Amino acid sequence: MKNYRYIIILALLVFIFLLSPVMATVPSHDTPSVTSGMETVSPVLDGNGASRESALYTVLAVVMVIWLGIAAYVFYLHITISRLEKKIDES
Amino acid sequence: MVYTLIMSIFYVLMPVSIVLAFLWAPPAEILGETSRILYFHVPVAWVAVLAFVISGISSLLYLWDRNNRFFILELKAYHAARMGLVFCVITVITGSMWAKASWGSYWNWDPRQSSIMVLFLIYVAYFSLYSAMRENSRRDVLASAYLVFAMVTVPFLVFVIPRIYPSLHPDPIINAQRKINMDPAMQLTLIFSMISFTLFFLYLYTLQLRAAILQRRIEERHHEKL
Repeated sequence: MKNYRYIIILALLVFIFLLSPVMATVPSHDTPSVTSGMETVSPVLDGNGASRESALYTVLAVVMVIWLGIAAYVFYLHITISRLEKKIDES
Repeated sequence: MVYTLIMSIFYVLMPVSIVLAFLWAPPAEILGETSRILYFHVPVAWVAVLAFVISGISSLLYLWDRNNRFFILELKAYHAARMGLVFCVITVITGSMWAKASWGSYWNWDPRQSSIMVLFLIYVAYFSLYSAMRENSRRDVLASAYLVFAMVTVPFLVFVIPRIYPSLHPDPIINAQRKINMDPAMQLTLIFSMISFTLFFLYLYTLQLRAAILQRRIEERHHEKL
């Protein structure tokens, strides 16, 4: 069980480490970059711009909550299976 | 050790991919913010194909391996097909959501939608066959043979048919020109997402196999006691 705690702490640290440079360079969406095909555009900067940005954060939050639920459940399954394997090996 | 490593990387990469998809990757032209579903739809479709290929290869090995040199191949094939079907359903759902946002309707009988539906039905038929032969001693052999044939259809249904017929679907990432028409930030996010979902699949697949092995061991012990 102790190993799992270390894994969680390590995962959180790496997560913060990986995201910190990315978050520092989050594009302001003021200038569109030009490429062919799936080109990028600046988001709508009209009256709905702010609400669209907040909608994006809401969707992100919902997806993150779903992800946390799935991750927690999968982790619980992992621990349960490990415990059962140990129990069967010992018996 | 490798398993723990995959598990740790998976727990880190997935949230990173989600944040990158929503906050870092720019929206695509014309498609706008709805294009962000790309970072979930494409990796899920990729994982479905990967799972079907794994199930096909495991079945092929099972049929070939008469001396039982490999361990639980029939279980590996079954569980890979099961996970492939689940990811196939998620692909259809995410694709329909994107279709509604882009084309105004959830279902348009587009060649790509139709081909993925045919693929879905092929694997649903496999599970019908598998459950119908519960008492048959040759169930694993017949089911494995079916999975091999099912795998043969995958490249045609996923890669060939949608490229032959005119489609509303956005130009595939691996297209006829062999050119990725994508912003570098979008490309990087997509790669991150693909790796995350692949690890997610591998992690879930391993968990399923471990549970199946446990079940088999318990059943064997039960039979020994009797």
